[in-house]
Amino acid sequence: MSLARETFKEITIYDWVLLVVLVLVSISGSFLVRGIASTGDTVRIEVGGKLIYRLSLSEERTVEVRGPAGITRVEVKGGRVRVADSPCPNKLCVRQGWTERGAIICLPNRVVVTIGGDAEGGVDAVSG
Amino acid sequence: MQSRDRLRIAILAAYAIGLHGLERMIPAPLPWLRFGLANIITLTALMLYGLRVALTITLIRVLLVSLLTGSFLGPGFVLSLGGGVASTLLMGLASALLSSLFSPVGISLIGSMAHNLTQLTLAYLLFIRRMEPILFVTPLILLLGIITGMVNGMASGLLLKKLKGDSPEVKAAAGRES
Repeated sequence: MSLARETFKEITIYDWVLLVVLVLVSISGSFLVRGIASTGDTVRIEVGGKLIYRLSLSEERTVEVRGPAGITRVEVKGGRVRVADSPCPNKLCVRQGWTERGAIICLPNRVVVTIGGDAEGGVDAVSG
Repeated sequence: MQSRDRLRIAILAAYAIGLHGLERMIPAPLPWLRFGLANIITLTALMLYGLRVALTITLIRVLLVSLLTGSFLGPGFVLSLGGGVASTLLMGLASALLSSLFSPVGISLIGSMAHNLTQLTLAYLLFIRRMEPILFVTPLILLLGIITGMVNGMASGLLLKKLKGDSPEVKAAAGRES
């Protein structure tokens, strides 16, 4: 136990400063991305950077896309979207569940589901 | 390379792979949360035996784990390799230049940041090619990385203390490095 206490005491003031700075940066970063997180009524489903589907968020629909690992099933319902089934090993995309803003990424199958407005690329709006 | 070095590398790499395997069996409470327990070994090796040994251990671990899990040359392998090498190099740089400022905890935090930022950059450049979804997950991943980096750093600090207390040989090695 005294070893644990010694180890804790060895943490320097610079360690703490680094810790606080990193925590502040990532927390303010999370508010920042929440602000810019796209909302809209369009769901874009891309595989390997290529747009496969553009769906309306208000229309109930289930589609399947084929990626390098197999078939990913994407479900749109009640203004939200989720990856219902995926061939990837860790199923991060499925576990993210229903999403109404931002994006769902499945890296192994190269599937990116983004919620956004109709505007193509670029900055949609800048407010001062 | 001395045969003693080779032996150390083999044993420490085995520990790193063992911890990595253990970690895979623990169900993560949150998606995106990886504990990075193998980093405890990387950091300890770095502090005791220097950058070359730590880097070799990282390369062996990434290669063997990918072969054991069948993900060799897949996206997960590329991200593991990039993250592992970048974090080991940056921790080596930090411990060489800033060891008077930071304890293993600070070095581990630096390594965790290097690991995550490299992986996010690689995921963007190689696989996703869209900035928005990457930016969206970055703060959460960094925040989780701070917690695991802190815990791993303390575990490594504890391990270093225990080793230095128990083994005159390790004590001598640690004294030579600093």
